[in-house]
Amino acid sequence: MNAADITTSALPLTSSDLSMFHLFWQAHWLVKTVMTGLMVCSVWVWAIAIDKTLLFRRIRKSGQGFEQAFWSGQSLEELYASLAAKPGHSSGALFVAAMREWKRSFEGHARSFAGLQMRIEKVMNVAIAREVEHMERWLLVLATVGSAGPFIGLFGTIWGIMTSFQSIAASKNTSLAVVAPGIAEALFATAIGLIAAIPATIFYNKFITEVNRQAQHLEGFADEFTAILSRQIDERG
Amino acid sequence: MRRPLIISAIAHAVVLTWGLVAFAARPNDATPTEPLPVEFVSATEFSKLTAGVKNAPKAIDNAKPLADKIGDPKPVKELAPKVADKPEIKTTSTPAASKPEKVEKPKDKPKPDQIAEALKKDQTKKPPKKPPVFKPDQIARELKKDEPKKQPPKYDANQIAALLDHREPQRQFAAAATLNDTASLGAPGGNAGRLSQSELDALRARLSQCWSPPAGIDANSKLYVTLHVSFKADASLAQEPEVIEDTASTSAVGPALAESAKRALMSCQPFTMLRPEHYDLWKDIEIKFNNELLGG
Repeated sequence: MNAADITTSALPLTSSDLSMFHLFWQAHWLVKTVMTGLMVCSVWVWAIAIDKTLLFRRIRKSGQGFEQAFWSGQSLEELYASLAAKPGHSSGALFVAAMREWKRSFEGHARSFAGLQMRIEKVMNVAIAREVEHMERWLLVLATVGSAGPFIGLFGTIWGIMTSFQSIAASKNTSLAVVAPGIAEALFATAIGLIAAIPATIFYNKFITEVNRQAQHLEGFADEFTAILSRQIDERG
Repeated sequence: MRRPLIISAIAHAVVLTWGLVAFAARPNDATPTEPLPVEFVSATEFSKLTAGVKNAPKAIDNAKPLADKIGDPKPVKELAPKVADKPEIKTTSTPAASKPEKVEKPKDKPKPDQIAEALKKDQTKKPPKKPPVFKPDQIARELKKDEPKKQPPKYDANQIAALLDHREPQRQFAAAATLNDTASLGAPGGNAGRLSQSELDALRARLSQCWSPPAGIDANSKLYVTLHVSFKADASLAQEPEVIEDTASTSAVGPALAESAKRALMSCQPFTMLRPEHYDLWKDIEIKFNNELLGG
């Protein structure tokens, strides 16, 4: 960017031109890239947030429904028959995985009780891992945007400040009209960085807590169910 | 995941559009502040401003306007057309003065007498027939006759002309490039926190009169001596001046120079040009004797 460039970009800019659109349009292409990237990040973050909110609401609902049915004394076979097609993403999925393994062990006429409990535990662990992985998907994006967003915005800020100083150097004048466009550009970049980063951080904290709680819940259910199945195995064996 | 993404994108678009509308910069309505002209006043001008001059010519004698125009006068736009172009109404003394006199002069012989005589005649002729008729005009005339003659107020057109303001009513005061620098008698609050230049100048002039420098001090020599001088309140020396700094070491004339400076101070006291109200300022001063002082 040479001197003439700066003066033409800096001097005609009066206060009436400081709308958001002009701020974006008159920025350096690098700052434009930063701003665009941060805007995309923001869109992505909110999409993830909406998706996860809906997902956790669904999980909580189905989990409550399943556990009510599970502890109501209903036959486990019937419950399995009703759930096998659509296991969902909660303790229901664990139950279906464990029951499938149980059934396979019996239906094969092998009557192999020896490793059954271990197998069921393994299956349930795998199911828990799969569920947690499903819940945690995209949360890394939130974490990244939350931590890197301000820095990316800061990059645009520094570029804007540099523009300001270059305008000062080019026009040998420190009046507000010379400095303001660069500063405004800089602050706009910072603002977009923060706009993207703040919700990302908040949502990340919220969802990671939720994931931990759900994982704990699944572990608890798995232990209980293992205990029940183990009793069954012992009775039959 | 697609639906949340679409929702998010739409929400962002809405917020951005709102931001474009809401955060559009408003025109700068602040009225620019008028620049305050600041001028630097040199020391000489400052001393002229604050120091009064006793023998200054009286301001009325050579009365100058607030500001004198020097050089080309700036064209002053006429705000309103002059009314002065109208034909003047001439008030010559003769018609105005003579008219009232004419009116007041009671030239005509009073008619009532004739009427009264006629009445008398009538009365003598036919007293029972006609009773005296009441005539208001007649009474009024009778009353008028009894009134003492009023002297009309002296009306002199020349005197009135003298009272009139002959300046144009459309005249305008205009600031000019230079101020009227007639020395004033001092501003009421013109007490600068240091010796005014005029006092220092006067002291310097007095000392240069009194001082007879030793041979070897001329306009080009760089010799000098600085004396610390203490004054009493009556502007005479409180003690013998002390040499603070001199060039005795560089020249043989140095001690002689210091002695001559001391002599000058001793012989010229008291220094009445130092005003007692500034005593604090000139109680202890340092005076430098060098070729500048010699020059004037």
